Amino acid sequence: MAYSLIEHTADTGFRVTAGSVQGLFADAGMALAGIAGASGGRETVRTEVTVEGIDQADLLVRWLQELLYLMEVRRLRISRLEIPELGDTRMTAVVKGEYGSGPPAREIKGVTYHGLEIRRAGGGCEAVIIVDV
Amino acid sequence: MYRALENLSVRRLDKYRLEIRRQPPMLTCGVIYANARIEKDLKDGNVLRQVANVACLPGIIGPSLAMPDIHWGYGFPIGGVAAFSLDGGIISPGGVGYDINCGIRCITTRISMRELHPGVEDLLALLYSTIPSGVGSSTRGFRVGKRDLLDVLANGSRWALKQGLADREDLEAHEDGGCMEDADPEAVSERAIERGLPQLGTLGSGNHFLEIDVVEEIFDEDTARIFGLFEGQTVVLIHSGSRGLGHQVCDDYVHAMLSAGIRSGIELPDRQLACAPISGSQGKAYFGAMAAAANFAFANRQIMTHLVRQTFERYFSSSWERLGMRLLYDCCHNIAKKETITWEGRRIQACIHRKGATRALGPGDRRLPERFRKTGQPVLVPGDMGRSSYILAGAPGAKETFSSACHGAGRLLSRQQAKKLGRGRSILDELKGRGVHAMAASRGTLAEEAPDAYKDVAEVVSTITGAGICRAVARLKPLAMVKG
Repeated sequence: MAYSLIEHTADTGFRVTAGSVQGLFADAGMALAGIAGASGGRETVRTEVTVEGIDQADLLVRWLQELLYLMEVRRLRISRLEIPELGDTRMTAVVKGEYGSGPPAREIKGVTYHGLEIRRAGGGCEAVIIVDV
Repeated sequence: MYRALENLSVRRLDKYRLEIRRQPPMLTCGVIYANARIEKDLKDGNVLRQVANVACLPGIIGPSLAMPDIHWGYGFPIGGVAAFSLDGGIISPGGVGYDINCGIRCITTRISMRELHPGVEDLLALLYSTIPSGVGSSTRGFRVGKRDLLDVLANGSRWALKQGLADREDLEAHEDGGCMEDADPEAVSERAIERGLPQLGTLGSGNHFLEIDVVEEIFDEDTARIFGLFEGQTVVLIHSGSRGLGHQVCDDYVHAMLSAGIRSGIELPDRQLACAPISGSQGKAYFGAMAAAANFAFANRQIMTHLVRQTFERYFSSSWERLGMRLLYDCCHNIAKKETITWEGRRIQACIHRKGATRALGPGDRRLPERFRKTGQPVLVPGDMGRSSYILAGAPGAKETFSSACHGAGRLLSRQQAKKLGRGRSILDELKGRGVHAMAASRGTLAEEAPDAYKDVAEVVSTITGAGICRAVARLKPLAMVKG
């Protein structure tokens, strides 16, 4: 997983790079879990998530919002993400992890669309995501 | 879909105002309230572009405004204010933000600092153990079921009044009497309700806080008397919002409006500005859901007010009424409101978006309770943890900002920069050195919220008062705080 935090005055941003768009979605999810302090742990829970959107950038935001819900409300700590299906307007993911005893260490209010773009370059891809904290 | 605005032209209008010149596809200019010192912090083009982006939205009336605590947000800048005509204008969830009706209130007391000072740490510890704070903090002491929550969404602090958690005077000291009448609980998703249920009466995390302050200086004796303020007085500030419920409402409607907007070919400068005609079904549904989330936030802060009063009662062995714990005012920060404005001589029904900005009604405004009609609305401007906060009053000049003002100091550094600066330092000890006691659910939050991460609130206040939007009434100094 490759992600780095970027400077944003009010909130928090991170840049993810991956060899494929599927990889980008999985890595962005793990980055979000890492920032929230809800990554790691065993793989005792497996849940499938299906998301629909208007394009892949929209799918990426909606996918990350689903993960936020699982972390905040279901208190899921995430250890592995797989993206078996990713189209332009629909994706399916498998989320593996374990239920924690409390909420994530850091509250993330929402995943924004601000300036979001999935850029493809040099056989890989990259996205910058801003989250409201 | 995405049209970036480049090469913006900015010129200084006067000592307190900058203008971003209109250029296509902007429909109007931008006006930023900034003195020369604040202007230096605007070097980053992102924030100017955000002001310009808002100026591209349909139905905007007057300029796209930004208050002096402006900083880079998402969609709207933080400190952004914009009015949209109810006839042909839009409403944008991104122009309100995730933390709907994040806001601040001030509770005055009859307690002097001298009476409080020896035991302020004990009182702080009591408050910390009583008010749930931190990430995902959940309600303590009482539970609300779904039926109660729907009542909260419909009635806001009026619900708290029915439960004995507020009195009538408290409600008068809220914007809209503590209840946005257009609230539509049915427009709030099940998921939002699920997120809100365990969080009513909780502070949350990040920049949310509960603070004990002392009134350090009075600038306007007459207004201070009407506000119930005196030098050396202890007051309490509570800053919190609509928690996960509001976050989910924003999320739900940004998605829905984005999808509908793309289908109808609306071109946006930033997807986070997804919007819908305010008179259309989607715009109305969002307004109803947003108002319901705002009511949640009113009730949330009112419950914490009740808990603060109970804690003071235990500590001082006296009733809160005898301690004079009166709500001065409750200001909303992230909100859209239908208001009648006067622009270029015309009275217009508009939807005012305030994102990281507060309402600031001037003297004579009939929406104010009788006791504030002569003075103008109390406007609360919290600073950072180590420096001052201010209490202002809305002035006649606020008409040019659609009765809006700054909501705080405004961030200067990103959270990573603040953490880097905080490495090897004890923020707690530094605060103690300034006479401020703090308790926080997370040390990371303390570092991110360190005083040097914020602009000097005095610059922000001198700009908004210099521009004639508000008048300075009093300055507060923090003594003790609970950070989320």
